[in-house]
Order: sequence, then C-alpha cells, then structure tokens
Amino acid sequence: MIFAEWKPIAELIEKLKPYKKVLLAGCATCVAECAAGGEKEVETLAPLLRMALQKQGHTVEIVTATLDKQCEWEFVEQLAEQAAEVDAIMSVACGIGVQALAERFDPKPVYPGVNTSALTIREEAGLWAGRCAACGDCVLGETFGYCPIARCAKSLLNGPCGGTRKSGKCEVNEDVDCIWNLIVERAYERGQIESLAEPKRTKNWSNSGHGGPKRVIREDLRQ
Amino acid sequence: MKTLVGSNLERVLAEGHFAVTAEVGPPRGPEAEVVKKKAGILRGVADAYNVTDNQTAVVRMSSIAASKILLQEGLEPVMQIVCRDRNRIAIQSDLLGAWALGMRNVLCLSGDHQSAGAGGKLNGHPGAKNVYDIDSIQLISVVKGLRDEAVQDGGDSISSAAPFFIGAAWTPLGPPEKFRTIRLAKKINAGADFIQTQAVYDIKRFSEAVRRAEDMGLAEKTAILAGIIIPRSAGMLRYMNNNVPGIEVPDELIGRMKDAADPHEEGIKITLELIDAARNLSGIKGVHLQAIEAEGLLPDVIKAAGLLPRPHVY
Amino acid sequence: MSNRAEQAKQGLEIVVLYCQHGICDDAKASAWSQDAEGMYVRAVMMPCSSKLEVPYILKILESGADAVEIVACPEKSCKLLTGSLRAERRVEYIRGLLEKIGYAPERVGISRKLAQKPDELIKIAGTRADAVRSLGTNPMKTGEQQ
Ligand code: SF4
Ligand code: SF4
Repeated sequence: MIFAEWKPIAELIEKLKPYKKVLLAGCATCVAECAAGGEKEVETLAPLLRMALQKQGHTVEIVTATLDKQCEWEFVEQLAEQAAEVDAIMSVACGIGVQALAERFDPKPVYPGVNTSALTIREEAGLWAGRCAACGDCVLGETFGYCPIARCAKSLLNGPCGGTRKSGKCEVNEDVDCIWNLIVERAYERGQIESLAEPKRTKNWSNSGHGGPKRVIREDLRQ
Repeated sequence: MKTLVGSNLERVLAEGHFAVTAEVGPPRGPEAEVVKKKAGILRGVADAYNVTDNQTAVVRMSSIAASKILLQEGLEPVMQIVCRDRNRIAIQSDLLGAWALGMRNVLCLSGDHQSAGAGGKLNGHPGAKNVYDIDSIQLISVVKGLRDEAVQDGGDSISSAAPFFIGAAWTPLGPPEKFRTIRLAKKINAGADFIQTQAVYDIKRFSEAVRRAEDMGLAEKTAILAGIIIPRSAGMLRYMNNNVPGIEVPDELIGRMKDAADPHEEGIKITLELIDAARNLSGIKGVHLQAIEAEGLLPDVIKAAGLLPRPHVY
Repeated sequence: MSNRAEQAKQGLEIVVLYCQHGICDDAKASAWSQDAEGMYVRAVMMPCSSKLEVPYILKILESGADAVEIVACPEKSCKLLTGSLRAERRVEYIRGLLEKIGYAPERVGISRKLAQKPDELIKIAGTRADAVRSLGTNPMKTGEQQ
C-alpha cells in the first residue's frame, strides 16, 4: 500500500487557521490501511485540530468526509457539495488523492495533511515496512523475492556493502535487516548462489521518476 | 615490465614488492596547508596514499582537490570515489578531470550512508538526497570502460582512454561471510587491479578468508593489501569490534591493550605483528595502513616494520 | 452552553468510561451522572475497554469534558485477556496527541481496577479530577483561550 503519516499538527494548524470552514477529507484505501487517513484517523484528527485551533483563538469549523478512494474521479465527485461550502480542504489521503482534490476543486486551496513516504506492507499490527520503490525495472526475479532497491539503503545490485552488521542488520538501522544478507541466505538455501555471482550491469532508471513525469497510454483502453 | 597505467603503486606491485599504502583524510575546511602538512609527514613512507571521499558522509575537501595537492607535493594519491553523492554522469566527468590532473589510482566504494555523519558525532547531512545510481562493482566496470575501451557507460566513446589503476574494498569477515569471497570475485572480474581490505585484527580468520580467495584463484588476479588500523586503546578496539561492520577484534588483543602499561607502545607492537603476519600470507601483496587522527605515527611504524625505504621514491 | 457554563462554575466535568465486566449488577446501567464534591461525573458503561476507540475519547474532550477516566479490568480479569492492555496503549497514544496540541495529557487517564460499586467509580473520578484541577477548565467548554 501507499504509506503516509500525519504531518506535525502544528504545521496543519498554521495552514488552517486563516479559514472559517474547512473540509478534512480522508480515503478508505491505502491511508486507512496505514492508519493515517481513513475514517478513524479523520475522526481523530478533526477533534484534535478543533481543540488546537480553539486553544490558539481561531474559530475554524471543521467538517469531515472519507471517500472510498480519493484517487478516482467518480469518488472524488462525491465531495462536490461539501467542497462548495468550505473555504479550504485538507486531505489526509496520499499525494495522489490530494492532487485529485486540488484539480477537481480548483481554485479551492487544498492542503496535504500527511506526508506520503513509501510503498509498504504491514508486517504486523502497528509495524509497516517499505517493500518497493517503484523503480520501473523490477529485479525481484533475480533477487529471490527481496527488493534491493527499496530495502537496501544504498540500492545496491551486486551484493552487500561492507556495512552489514554482525547481527545481519543494515549499517543504517540496527532494527532493519540487511536485505542483501537475506538475499544471499535465500540463494544458498535454494542452492543458487551462482546466480548472484553474475554481475548486474548499471541499471536503467528511466522508467521510474528519474526519467521524468510518468505518462502511459494504453490505446486499447482509450475511448 | 608491462603495466597498464604506470602508476607508482602499480609498478611496485608489478615488480613484486610488498606494497604500502596509507590514508590521508582531507580536512573539514578549505586549507591546502593541512593537506600539505600531512604530505610532509608522510612523504616517502608509502607507495601511494588514499584520499577519502567525504568519508562517513561528512563534508570535507573533495578527494580530487586533495589528491591534486598530494600530487603537487610529490605523493601519489589513490583517489577514492563513493557512489553516494554522484551519478554516473558526474562520476565519469570527475574521472576524466582527475586523469587530466594526473591521478592514476582510484578506489571504488559504495560509500557510507548519510544517515549518521561521523557515526552520529557530527550533524552531517541526514536530510541529504543520496544518489546511489550505480554501485561499487558497477563503478569498477565504468572505470575499466574508460580505460580499456575509451567508452562511457552509456556507450559513447571518449576522445582518448583514461587509464586508471583500479582499486576496490573487501570486507572478508563481514556477514554473509561465505558470500564475501564471491563478491570479491565479482569486483576482480569487473576489473579491480588491487584490493584494500577492511581493517584486520583477527589474523586467523583473515588468513582463512585469504585462503578461500586463493582457492578461487583470486589472489593472483589482483593484489590484495591487508588493511591495518593502528590500535590506540582497548576502548577503541572494543568500539570497532562492536560497531564497525566487518571488523573482528579477538578478545586477546583487547586484553593486551587493556593490560599494557603503555598502550601506545602496545598498539605499535600489535601493528607490527599484524604487518608481519600479513607479509607471511602468500595471498597478500601489501598493507594499507591507517592511523586515525594520528598520521604522525605512520613513518616510525613503517620503518620499524622494515618496510623503508620504499622501492621507488617518487 | 449556558447549562455547561453553570456546570463549569460548579466544578469539573469528569467522564468515566467503565467496562461492564468490572461492575456489580446493580450498577449496570449504561449511563448515569452524579454531582459529587467539586465535580460532576458522567459515567458511561462500555462493553469492553478493548472496544474503546481513540476518536470517541477525543470527542468527549472536544465537547468540553475536563477529563476522561477509563476504568478497565485488571489484566488478570480482562475478558479479552489483552483488551485492557490495548486500552492502556491507546490512552498513552491519546496523551501523546494531546501534548502535541498543547493540552495536558492528564486530561485522559486509565485505571485498571474492579470497581464494584458506583461509589468506587466516583472515587476514581475524584482522583482524576484532582489531577486536572490545577489546569483549569477545558478551553473547549468556556471558549476561552489559554
Ligand atoms: S525492484 Fe523496483 S519494481 Fe521491483 S520491488 Fe524493487 S523497487 Fe519495486
Ligand atoms: S548493510 Fe545491507 S542493506 Fe544496508 S546498505 Fe549495506 S548492503 Fe544495503
């Protein structure tokens, strides 16, 4: 899922305090999964914002809504009425949702309530971890199912750097596995270590954000 | 004697001498004088001098500039390049520039991640956007392409080849230990002419790793220089053992430092023993010596090890 | 609002959320309120403290209560085993959120007790009231700025 987390509340207050009425808009998909922007989080953040604003002497009315998906126009449309009644919108969906609202409800100011930061899996309750960096040239087939782009701090393609700790963790964070240590372990387990002895050439990053803004056309789906 | 590049380090190794390299960290400031002063202390005691590239992700004088100053002072640099801060375009451009300035040895490294500058002792730049466009093994191939085929990574040719003597690092005792020999092989196959290892203290485990490399025929395809950091105290050894990945310090050495009446003397004694042990390993062709924040110790140590004078005073 | 303002004058408004498994039968009413010394206690029975949601508690504070006290079962007697533990974690989380908006974290608390009688709940509420008395009334109630 797309992972996001609340921006510091002080930052949100700064954005909202000039307005009289604001819509706080959530999304029931990824950001609900990562407990940042689903209905529950919207209904947690709204009272907090109201209390904080009032305490600082700002009278801002905050109304709330949570869409099934903020990244699809059909769902975004459901906000039309509420959006018309407010001075500004704060979205706690991922950056895609925020932009969808900004585009649909232009010129209404739309602010992000969260920082969108990764593509994660929920490893266990209350623990999310990055899995993919949308690199545009997937190598999972050669790395035994572990992503060395998102999960190695240096996005190495030819094996572990010299920083693997004795514990098998990454030099950058002692709580995070050195993914190359796991890749190598799995390769040995499967008796396929030779495949990692092959050099991986320099990567083509152009199919990711590094190649410029993404734009894809599928003629078969066009109307 | 046929050499690829003709650097002093390459010639020393090609002639079969036991090589000595030392490390010169560029200053955290713009003073050429600091580099010159270190050069003055170290002139003549090693065959080439590693110049670090923003080591531990702390901003220092660039490795190209500091290398050039060494060169002007009559010391041959081993210019280090890390993949953290520059993409393949910048790295290749810097390599051409470095060659134009007279650099002939490079050491290709991934580079310490920027998340903790100097292990958290300095602010560093944890908010920096890192690059890691290519990795250290790919970097070796890129340098080799510039040297052997006068071609850039993207396939365009360069007007004339830029021959470098190519170095790489090896952390033989880092996990996954078994794979470290394979990774060494990858570096050598990619074009590494010489290897400098992570600091060695556990000579027994190190010699086993070197034997594994010899068994794979790697030791004759490249020149492996054993990394040695002069121990200064028991605390330093303990710290490295616990916190520096790939460094294994036997308890016995820590104990010796702890019990020593004069830890300084003991540290030098241990260093000399390590150099001696390295010289007796058939797969080892030299030593890479470091005295962290104490370069002044190196001349005496190298002399005491019987490694002076160097074959070519350059 | 005027009713509220009167209450504020009378004393602190403390909301007690208590677990139905922890109370004797004669106190099993879903909600009741009572004036006590220096405070006004509103008590709400919950099916189980593990069901306690963060937004629900925040809304109570938003609506002007001076403090919320959750009375959860002791670990050993919790019907859901870890239910009351989870409630405790949520209370910690809410306290952290309150701090971030400049509210005293003491406005939310949890006790893990088998409070058999309404009297005991009032006593627990009193302890919470003591903890927040020096903070003054909830700014949401009076509309005043701190
Ligand atoms: S290799 Fe690229 S596409 Fe595949 S999981 Fe990793 S980042 Fe995602
Ligand atoms: S320790 Fe492992 S995961 Fe961390 S940067 Fe090095 S290779 Fe990547």
